[in-house]
Amino acid sequence: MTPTQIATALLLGLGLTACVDDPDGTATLDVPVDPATGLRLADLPPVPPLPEWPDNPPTEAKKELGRALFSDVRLSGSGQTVCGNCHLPTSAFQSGGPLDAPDRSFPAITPTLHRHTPSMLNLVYAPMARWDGSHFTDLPDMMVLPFAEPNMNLSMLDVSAGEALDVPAAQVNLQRRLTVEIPGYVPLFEAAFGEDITTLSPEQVWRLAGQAMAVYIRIAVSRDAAFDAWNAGDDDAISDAAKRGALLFTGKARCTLCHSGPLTSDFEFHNVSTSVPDASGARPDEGRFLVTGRDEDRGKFLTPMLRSAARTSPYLHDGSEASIARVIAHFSGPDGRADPLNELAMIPALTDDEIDDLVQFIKSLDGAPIPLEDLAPPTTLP
Amino acid sequence: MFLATTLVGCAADEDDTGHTLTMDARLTTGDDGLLAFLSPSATIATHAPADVIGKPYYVGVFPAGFSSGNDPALFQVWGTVPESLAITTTTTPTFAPGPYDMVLVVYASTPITEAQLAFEEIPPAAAGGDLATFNLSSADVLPGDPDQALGTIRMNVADDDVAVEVENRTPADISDRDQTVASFEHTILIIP
Repeated sequence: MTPTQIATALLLGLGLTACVDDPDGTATLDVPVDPATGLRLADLPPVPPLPEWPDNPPTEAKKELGRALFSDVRLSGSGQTVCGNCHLPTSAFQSGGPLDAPDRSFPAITPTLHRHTPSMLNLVYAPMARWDGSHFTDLPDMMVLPFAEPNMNLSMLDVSAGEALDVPAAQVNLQRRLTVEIPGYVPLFEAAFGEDITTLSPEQVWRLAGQAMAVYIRIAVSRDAAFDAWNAGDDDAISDAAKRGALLFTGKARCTLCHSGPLTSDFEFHNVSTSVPDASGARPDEGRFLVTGRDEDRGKFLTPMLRSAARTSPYLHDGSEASIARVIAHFSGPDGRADPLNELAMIPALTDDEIDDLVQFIKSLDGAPIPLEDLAPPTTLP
Repeated sequence: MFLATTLVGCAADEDDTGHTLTMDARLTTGDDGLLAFLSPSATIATHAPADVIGKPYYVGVFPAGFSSGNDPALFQVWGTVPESLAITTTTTPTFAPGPYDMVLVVYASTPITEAQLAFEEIPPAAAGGDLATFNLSSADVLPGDPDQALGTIRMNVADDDVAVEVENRTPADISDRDQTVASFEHTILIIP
């Protein structure tokens, strides 16, 4: 968010606070639906329909191929992990743990990755992803990228390489596994894309694998929450506490400075004092700076989406906070100002009751359940 | 240092006119003397019993479909894994008819603080090497009830007290999908 955007959002937030005549945050809950938008709170519109992809039209064959690629332990470097190891479909496509130990962990169970596994819910809509935005080009590339990282370690990286990346080696290894070691994948790619992957380059096979996994992850959508029903006019869809929280969220607490729009994220990077520098100035994780090299990006991380966030504990880039209430308390308290580069100066102190209301609002963002048959692993693998 | 060598617990509601929930968790060693566990990705990892005995465990009961980290427990208790490797927990008789989600986490790797033991802070999420209950199927979720939260066992209270057994199930042949799926029922997983 640029300074201009922040100023604009701040003004909008103040304006909304004024509109509901709520100087102390205990707002009247009788917020009218704006006829122009059909919503009570225009900052938080409903999640749109799934995007159309003319260059990769979703099909059932691609979805099932993507599901297999997401779930096939044989495609990992050690043959002992799958994407779902950290992104459990039945757990909002994250693991519930603070830090995950990926493929390189077996048989020993350390080291872990140094960042918390984010949920993949609504990733299909996201214009930016990963805590620091690294290596993000588009969804297919991002879906297949972990094969080249220590996560899936198809590059057979040296564990001591830390967060290293070797895409070319992983591309060669993935093609070999899909064509030579597990040739049953060849007809699946043929059915999905009309391509014989034995004749394609490793880069081309890599891209098709990513496209299939991108189609699969279209199942990971959080939408049609109780909040959306209330926001569209259903007075009884959420509790009074959640209503108060929604008004705080868009008003006094100014959460929509960053958590705005249908996906509740501006998809920008912010310093919210979650990786505070020590006496020497070094941070445990420099965040976005590692990608851009710009000092102003030190300690910045991507604004996470909040839909179904009540299902994705723990929180923050390092999984260090177990509850939403503690995250909000961090933002509104002195800890949130601990980093000299923090961007939380405009966030007011909040009472425990206000924090509770905000938690109830965020709980009301839980999406409609994803059909169990979509979340299940493939019944057979090639 | 972990000092809670005896069980300590609390229940939000001291009304004892309801039913109890009992979880009988058994960790069984294999022929090699090791404790084998499934991981979420259907691989098998092991702990030596000495890695688990004496470690803290947490048992909690929550409203069905609770939000982990964000909903308070209706009942919770800490203990230490005994040499028998059998962990039996019975709640207070306070549970009215309805669905509940019950969880056991053995913190074999993650350190636990005194504040967490004293319920001043919520227990940490299970991390690599820790053990947790798991149930793959939704067969225990009755029509109209909330989905079962991850890492929990659904307990449906009707007219009587409810008891469930969980153990570290592993398939004899991990390439046999049916065996593996069956091992994910009422099991204790290792967190990778």
